[in-house]
Amino acid sequence: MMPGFLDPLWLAWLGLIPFIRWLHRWQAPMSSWPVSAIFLWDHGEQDHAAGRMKKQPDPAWRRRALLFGLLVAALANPYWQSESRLLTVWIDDSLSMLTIENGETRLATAIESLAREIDRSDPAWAEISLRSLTDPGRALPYSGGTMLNIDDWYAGRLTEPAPEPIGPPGLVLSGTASHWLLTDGASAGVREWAGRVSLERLIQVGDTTENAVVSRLAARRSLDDEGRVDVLVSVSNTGLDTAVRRLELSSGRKLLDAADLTIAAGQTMHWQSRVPVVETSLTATIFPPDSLSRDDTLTIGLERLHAIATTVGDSCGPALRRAVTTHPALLLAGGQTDAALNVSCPRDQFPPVSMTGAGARIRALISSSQPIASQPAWTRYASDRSNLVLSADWVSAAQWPDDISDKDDSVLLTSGELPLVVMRNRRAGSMVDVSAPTIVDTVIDLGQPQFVRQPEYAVFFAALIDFATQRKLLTEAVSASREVQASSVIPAQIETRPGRSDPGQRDSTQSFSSLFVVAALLLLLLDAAILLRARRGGRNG
Amino acid sequence: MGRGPSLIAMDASAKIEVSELQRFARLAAPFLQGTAARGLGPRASRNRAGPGLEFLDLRYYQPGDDIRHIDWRQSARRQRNVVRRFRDETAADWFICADSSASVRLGGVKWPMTVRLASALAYALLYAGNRVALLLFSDRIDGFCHLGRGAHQFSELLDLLLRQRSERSKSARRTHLGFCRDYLTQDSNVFVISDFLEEDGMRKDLHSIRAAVASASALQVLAEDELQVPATGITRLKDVESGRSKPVMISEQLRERAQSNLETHGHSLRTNCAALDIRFATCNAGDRWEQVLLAHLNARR
Repeated sequence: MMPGFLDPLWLAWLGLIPFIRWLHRWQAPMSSWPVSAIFLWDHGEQDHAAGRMKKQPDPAWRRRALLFGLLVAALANPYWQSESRLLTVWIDDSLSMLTIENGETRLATAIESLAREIDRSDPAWAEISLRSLTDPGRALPYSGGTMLNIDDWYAGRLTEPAPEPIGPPGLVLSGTASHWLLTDGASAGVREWAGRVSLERLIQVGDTTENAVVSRLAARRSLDDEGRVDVLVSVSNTGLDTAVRRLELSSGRKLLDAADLTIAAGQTMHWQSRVPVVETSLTATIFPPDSLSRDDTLTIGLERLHAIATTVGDSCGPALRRAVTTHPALLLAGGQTDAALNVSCPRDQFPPVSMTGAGARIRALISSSQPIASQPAWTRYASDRSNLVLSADWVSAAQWPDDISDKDDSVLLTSGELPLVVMRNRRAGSMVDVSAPTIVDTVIDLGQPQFVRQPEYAVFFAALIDFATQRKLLTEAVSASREVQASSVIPAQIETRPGRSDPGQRDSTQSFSSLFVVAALLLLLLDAAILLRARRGGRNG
Repeated sequence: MGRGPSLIAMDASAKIEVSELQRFARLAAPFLQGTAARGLGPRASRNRAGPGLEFLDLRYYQPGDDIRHIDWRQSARRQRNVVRRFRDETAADWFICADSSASVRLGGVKWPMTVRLASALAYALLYAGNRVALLLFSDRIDGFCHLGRGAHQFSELLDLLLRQRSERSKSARRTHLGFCRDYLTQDSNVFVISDFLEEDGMRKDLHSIRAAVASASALQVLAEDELQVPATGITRLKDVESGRSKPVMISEQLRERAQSNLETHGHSLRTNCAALDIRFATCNAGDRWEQVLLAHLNARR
């Protein structure tokens, strides 16, 4: 710690202190004591002695000189300059820091280096806190190099995909603490952040440059092969050399497919396969595992690609039943009351909408149908089906048997004024119950042979299925992916801010001129009190 | 002396019972008899008839005259009753000069004693039939009560004394006893009550006053803590009257010298008074006023 004065020229005024002493030479050196007759106290030698003493200045000059000195010192703006004893260590906990090198992760190596640096620090740090660049608001107290459990640090935080570290804004960094950074320099976000903020020390680790990553795994129903899914796997090479990997698709312990891949540096290779639909998840893994093994595998669940159990009412015709059985995403279930989709064909009237039943419903009215007058047109609620053109030549429909509520029902397809397909919104009280399965009613004759023979019939029926299930069953896919750049493990040099190429201890300057002013004020009060007491001193007459 | 208050409060710590004054007056009466003015040198005596032994004149009898004083020889000669009148030897004029300067007021003990002495003396003199006046002096005349008799006069004197109790001396210059001389009358008697702490012991003033009156008495009142100063260290002593100040180094030797100076001063004062035929006595402010006055009056005889 080092004291100093910001305006030392003010200290030249201290040369007036002898003048203060000289001013006090007239002051009575002592308090006055009244006597009834001064002549009784006349003494020869002692008069001279006391007279000599009278020439001594009033001792109060010392107190006033000190007061003057304190004010001058306050004007000179004194300060303490000290090295900060608070340390904040910013940890780059991006995915690349989990790269295994020499039997331990880069993060563990960095923590050990940090412990050595802290032990070498002199004087010791008063307080050390660890903060994550991916979660700056979270701080952990530091208590030694072996305290950091990597799993605890990442518990609940390193999700797939891992968040890219961005670091806090530079203004947030405490000005009274020193800031260090532990990183491998592989993350572009960390490099950018380190270049913006002021860091006193950089602990950089990492040597490995090679890494391959399963960057994407996607699956969707195979339209050609019932019971199978089409799979797409993307494997990226973030290293500097060509990577040779074996890609395996598995479900649990069952190997479904495999391939050998040769990926150039910086390139991504896409591989497709068709595998049976499995009950559990689908996993893509590359072998052999590299230094960063966390990104060597991706897993997706295929529940959404399973066939939907569907029941068909007895009154529905064979065309409708056949449409269900041939739909790739539907599985005809006989008599199942909890089926996800129910296709029924009521006669003449749509039954009242009830809250019972969990599955989505398609109700195709059976009634005397007539050819429709005008071309069916999709409304704005089904604008994505506009490429499905139905012709009035082969579409017939019955009259809509009941009133359509503007509030509760959404007309999807009309022929002029005639609604052809309506989606019923079920309500829970005054609100639309969005969790309730959807009911799609249609008055189009789905058994009419002219319509059945059209290729649009299957597409139309698939559209009804999609409306009812609120999904695009034929085209939907499940996938998982990760940022390729996040898996880059190539250590890069961190460029710190100009002027801090050799970061050292942060100095903190603290002014304490107010302390001098307070001391001067107290001294002034003391002087005033002494003067008052002296004025009232002596015997009362 | 007529009815009046039974208790006279001088200040919060000093009170005089009227009964005490009456007792003192009776005790002092023998000392105060024959106090008619006897001047130094040829001076006319006061021609006033009253109790006495010295023949004054003859007068035709008037109702009320003491029949024992009828001069039978002259009555037979003049065929009318004639009484013999005698010179009133007890009646005299007294001036009490009380010092009310700053030195007396310093410390708060000498002034109350001065007031007690002056009021008791005035009471006794008035009780004996004299006329009494009161002068309060410092560097000027602070108060004057004309000659008078009786209870009313005592009330006037007491009022003047007590009024001064609460009034501090307005100036701090030296005490000037000589200002009282202009108020004194020939053949009067003077009683000076003061601390006499002037460097010259008020020598010239005493001489001046003694030359103007028939008799004079002086009573010096001092305080036990007259020489009280701070325990140790350098102190600036300041005279409360002259304002002169001087730094001194307080020491035992200094105190002893001051005490010696005080005693020397007192001795000089006593000698001076003796030379001027002034009855002089000194007392302490803590002494009993009756004993002080009786002792002094007894010494006068």
